[in-house]
Amino acid sequence: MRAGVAIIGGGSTGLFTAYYLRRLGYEGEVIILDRSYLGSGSTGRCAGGIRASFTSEVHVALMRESIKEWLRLRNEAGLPFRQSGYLWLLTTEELVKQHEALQRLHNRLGVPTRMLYGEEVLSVVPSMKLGDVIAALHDPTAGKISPLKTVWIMRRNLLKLGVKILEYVGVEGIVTKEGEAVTLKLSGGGEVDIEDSVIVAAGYWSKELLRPLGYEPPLKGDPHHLMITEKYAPFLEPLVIHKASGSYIVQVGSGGVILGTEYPVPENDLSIHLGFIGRAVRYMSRYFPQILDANLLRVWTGYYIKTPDHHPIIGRVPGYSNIYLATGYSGHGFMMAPIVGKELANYVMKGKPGLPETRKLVPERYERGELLEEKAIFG
Amino acid sequence: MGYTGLRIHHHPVLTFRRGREVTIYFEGEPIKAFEGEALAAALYAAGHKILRYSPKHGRPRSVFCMIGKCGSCIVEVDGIAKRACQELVRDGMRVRRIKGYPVLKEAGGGAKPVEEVEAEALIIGGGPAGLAAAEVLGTHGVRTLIVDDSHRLGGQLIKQTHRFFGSRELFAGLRGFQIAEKYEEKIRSFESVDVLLRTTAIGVFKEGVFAVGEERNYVLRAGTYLVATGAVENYLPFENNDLPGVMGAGAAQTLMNVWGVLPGKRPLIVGAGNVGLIVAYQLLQAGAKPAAIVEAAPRIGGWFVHAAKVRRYGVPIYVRHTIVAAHGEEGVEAATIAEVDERWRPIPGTEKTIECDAVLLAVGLTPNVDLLRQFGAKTKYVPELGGLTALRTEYLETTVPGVYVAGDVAGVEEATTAIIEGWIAGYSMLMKLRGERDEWMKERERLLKLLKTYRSSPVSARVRAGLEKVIIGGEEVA
Repeated sequence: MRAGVAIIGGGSTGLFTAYYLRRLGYEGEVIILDRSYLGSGSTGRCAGGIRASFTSEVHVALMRESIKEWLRLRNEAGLPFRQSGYLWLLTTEELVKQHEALQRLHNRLGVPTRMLYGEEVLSVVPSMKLGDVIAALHDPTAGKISPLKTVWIMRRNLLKLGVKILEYVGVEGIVTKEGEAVTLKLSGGGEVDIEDSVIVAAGYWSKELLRPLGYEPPLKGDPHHLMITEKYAPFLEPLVIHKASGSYIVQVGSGGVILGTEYPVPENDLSIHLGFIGRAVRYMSRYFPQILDANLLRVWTGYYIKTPDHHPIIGRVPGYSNIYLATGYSGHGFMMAPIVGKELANYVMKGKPGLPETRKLVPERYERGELLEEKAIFG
Repeated sequence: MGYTGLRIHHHPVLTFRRGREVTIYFEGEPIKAFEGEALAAALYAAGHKILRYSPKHGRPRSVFCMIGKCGSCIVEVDGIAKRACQELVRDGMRVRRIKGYPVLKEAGGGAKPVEEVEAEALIIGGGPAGLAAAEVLGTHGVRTLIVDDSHRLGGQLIKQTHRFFGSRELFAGLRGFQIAEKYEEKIRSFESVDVLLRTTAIGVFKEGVFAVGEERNYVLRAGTYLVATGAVENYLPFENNDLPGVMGAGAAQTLMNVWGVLPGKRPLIVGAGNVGLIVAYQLLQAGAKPAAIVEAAPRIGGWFVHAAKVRRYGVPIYVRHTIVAAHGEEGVEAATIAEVDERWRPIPGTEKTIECDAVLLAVGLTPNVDLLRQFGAKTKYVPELGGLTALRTEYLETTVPGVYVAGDVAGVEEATTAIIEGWIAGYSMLMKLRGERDEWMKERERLLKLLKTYRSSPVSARVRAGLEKVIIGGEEVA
């Protein structure tokens, strides 16, 4: 088998990269390989929230651009992205002050967030009880989309665009020659000869793939829980975050209500903890007491793949001219996937990304000590 | 809607001990019902077959499983969405149909208290397998807890009116519901056995098994676990298969034999295995006249005695036939059946229409393995046993040490084998907790032999083939 570009990992990063390669006019063979099914990793386990209201300039700028892509993809790719907003509930004066400063940062970078005080909060979510909320930061550009639906729709788009998708095919090794990837060794004995580039978008597993090449990305798997209820009539449009506890609630398009919260468990412990449900429900039922009477449907865990500075690693793998890595989103990979896919396509076709912010995410930043900072990581 | 004639008043075998007559309101209209009966049964008996409308296409929906496993009977009870088959009638309750998805409302009770319970043995499912295991454990004074989502112990035995055959040890001569009653009495007599009814074990968590009850929720932990969660009825694809009146044959049994309400006066039965044949006979007992039985296979699958009984009453059995469509506006009024070819595809031109007012699907069951998988037990797809089921030793321990399996969840069979498996699992759990003893080992070997004898008939050939694929050696329990 030969590939112009081989993409290792059929999650959102891999799917969008293949899509933008075609959209930017790449004509070679594009192959996506996944050792399981598409979206089986962090993509299929995430809540599907999309927002630009971050605390770092790089994240705000990247997500501002990513949201532009999500909006464009509604018509272009048929993705039902819903611009339903995010609402950050603030319960202390200190949090209010922090978020007033954040609003200024967001607005300066072109993201029109605004502060709501007291009863004003209810104008965005009438079904909510105000409780101890003093104020809230509203991000009207944010939104939601089903990650699973996104995977199915993108798969259909990609097949139409002539992208080859191989599921249940693992990559056992990347064979290199003089600093260039030349062949992928596949599970089951097959091989893919590489004409142009290899994209490593395999999440936590990227570490295992790249270690034999002498580069080990600083990734840590941090399991997070999520839960979803049975389907109910729409009552909650934006995703609502309780900032002080890191808990959130969102009603997805199908009607189920997803809850998440900070619930630290040891790395690699993907088992399901009841304590998670208790914590998530305890915080969010203060504002949405009706969730106490909802029927729980599923609870699951997935990885936030974290880096030391909570920003993704996107760029050329040190020492190799045609291997690119994109992972370590620290819980934000799905929402960033369109812009990251576009930037990876830029790397492959033009040798460099389109945005100055993407350049700051290269792997070498850790050695150079150019770490970024992000504080708004939740649930 | 007034008199429908669906209430059963005289039954040769069953006596319905109904509660006092009360008034409930459906869509504002008063309806006479009996206190303590399933709300779904009361509404069905009153002629209100349509219980909700499907969210996407607004199609009318009615009962399908009658045991709380599906969502087709969700109604609004005093403002809160509930499964009508699991909700018991109270005087004055106000019930509404749901169009689209239910509105999530605050019931006002706040968060339910959570109680932590520790036991030596936790039995999930109080059907024949679970009760048999509890009998062994209770006899030996093991602190045992049975949790069951139903309002009564007995599982599906409570709707069986036919006599069991076999030996006295295996309850020969007794009817299923009588076995359930006997067992309930026995289990209640053990001091070391506790029972939580109307409590659903919904998940296995790091902290224990989480169970949702009426008044409180529970975190249940034990030294050994028995998953005896039974099976769920299969669906069949055909035109209008969601029309009110199309339901599982087991659901029909629950309606008529537990609640005394006929699923219809002239139902069509799909499937001539034991379940299909027995339900036809039970319908006759209850005063209905089955329109026909259709069976896709070239032969009747169930026991000959059952088929003979049904034929005697003039119920036609069409082999090599299947249902292709149900017809009607608000409920089943007729069905089209057709002959099938050797690959079970309907042959065009062979269709005939049969007048009927219900379609009962007796097309097999699927083991209810969700909790087993949550425990981490390895499962395997074995068509002969009904689908996914657990790998286990012949002593019924799964690949997770201390977690056992028995009954239909371990492969769809019947109540008698479920009981024997329950006894075997009971002894395995006992020895896990108390150490091995010669007399217990001997008794377990005897039961194993009994089970093998029971399964030695040609009717069990398929099950035997299936079991060969899931029995593992003790060293594989990891």
